[in-house]
Amino acid sequence: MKDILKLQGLQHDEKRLAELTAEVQVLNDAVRKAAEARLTFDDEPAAFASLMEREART
Amino acid sequence: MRNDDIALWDLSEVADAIAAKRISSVEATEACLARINVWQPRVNAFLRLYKDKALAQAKAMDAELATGKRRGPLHGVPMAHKDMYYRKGELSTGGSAIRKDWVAPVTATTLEKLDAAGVVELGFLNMAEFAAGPTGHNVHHGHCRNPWDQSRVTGGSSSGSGASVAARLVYGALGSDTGGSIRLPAAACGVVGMKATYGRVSRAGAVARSWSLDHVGPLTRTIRDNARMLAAIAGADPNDSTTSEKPVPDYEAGLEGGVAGLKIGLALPKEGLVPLDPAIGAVVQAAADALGKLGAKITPVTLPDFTALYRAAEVMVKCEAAAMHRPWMEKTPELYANQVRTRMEAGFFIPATQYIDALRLRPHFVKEFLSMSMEGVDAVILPAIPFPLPTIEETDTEEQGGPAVLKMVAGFTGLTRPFNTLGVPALSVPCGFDRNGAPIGLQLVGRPFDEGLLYRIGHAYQGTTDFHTKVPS
Repeated sequence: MKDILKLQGLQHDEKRLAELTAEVQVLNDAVRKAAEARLTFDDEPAAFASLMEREART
Repeated sequence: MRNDDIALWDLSEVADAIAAKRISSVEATEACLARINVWQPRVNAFLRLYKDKALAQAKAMDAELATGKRRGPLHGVPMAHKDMYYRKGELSTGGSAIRKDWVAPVTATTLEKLDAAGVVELGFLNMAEFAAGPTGHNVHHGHCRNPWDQSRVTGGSSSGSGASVAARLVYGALGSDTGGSIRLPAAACGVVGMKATYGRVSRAGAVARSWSLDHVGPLTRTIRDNARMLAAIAGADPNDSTTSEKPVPDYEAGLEGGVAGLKIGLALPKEGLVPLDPAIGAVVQAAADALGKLGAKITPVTLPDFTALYRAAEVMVKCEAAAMHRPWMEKTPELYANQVRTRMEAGFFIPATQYIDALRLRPHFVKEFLSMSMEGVDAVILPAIPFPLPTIEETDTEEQGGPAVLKMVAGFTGLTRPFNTLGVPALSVPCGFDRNGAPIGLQLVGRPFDEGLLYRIGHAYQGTTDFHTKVPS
């Protein structure tokens, strides 16, 4: 985390870094788990817009 | 019988009266200004009021009408908007201290459309700093206060939009919704708020919170008003490539279709991120019963477990907000409210792969929602806010802090944020009052681009209830 902090040009104390690490961990774990269960090589972000158009009844 | 105070009329009534020359736009504008004079010290809904400019604009609209020119169904109607819609050459703060003196270089597409429709602009409205916050707190410009009980929150981030429409200071207002920011103030203030399908309304010239999740939409007193306003602002825009080319329906024309024969799913989630208060559940059940009496078939539906979807949405918001705020976060972090700054910081540390996966997951979440919750039903209804409305003090994260306060504040968006990630239309309609006398919002959710159907259901509901006619005193 400290190395990323340096790369991002930001400054935080140890306490805040620990809080951020915990927060990022929860988000990363949730997305990774959801992705593992659902995503394939061919999934791409733009599929969202075309799905919305396709699912419209009107 | 019609009230003598023009400010208490609905948008549609006042627009039609102006068109028929029974009243003038100047009279409507003066009525709003008189009410603003009384209510602004109580609710702090306006950040800037353009009295002289609005009266001049109203006079011009009346002059046009006198020559036979009517721009459309909003001609001469006074409105004001969340202070995040740019108007070229004018201040636009985004509710922040950072942009307190910033002058917009362009005009938002939605404002251009409202200009073309003949809307009179009374000014710009209070909001959460950079649209980040679901309660209506603002440490820079003063908290916005709920017209029904000034000790309670308005909901946010479109706090001034909700408060000003509820207090009858304006006939309609633009808000924006990244995790509930139109529907929450609509619910908390007892007005109608529409978050249309992602891509239905242009975001060009509006302050972004998260490009992927931001939705622009109207807050009004009635469904008819809302349908009229959405029709004026919706549609494709070359300045926003995410807008849809689909034609905009005549929403008002479809309002009288009724609900007989429609299948409506009722979702009262007992589990999930936020527990549903039983009293709120009972009010929403009563709303379902009312729709049932009108001929709709009400059937219980289950919502997917939104935990992963909610986290994916957090990843999108934090990463996109961190990217756009980076220059200020580096140079002037002290100019942000603590809760606004700290909520963005994690965005600098989330790997790009996680962010991209969150975006790739979206269509999967949509398919899961449509198959699990909307299979065989035309729309789903559920509460907008799952608990009775708290006070400003109880939810003040700057002054109070602590996990319990943070949890309550986060709980506001438990039933609204999922529909930003899903991109489907979601509407909040007043459906009752909680034990403290604060309004409760019924949320209606539909398939992509089914705004017209949601309006039809909401209009039928308003035809059999009078919650939308109550005025805070």
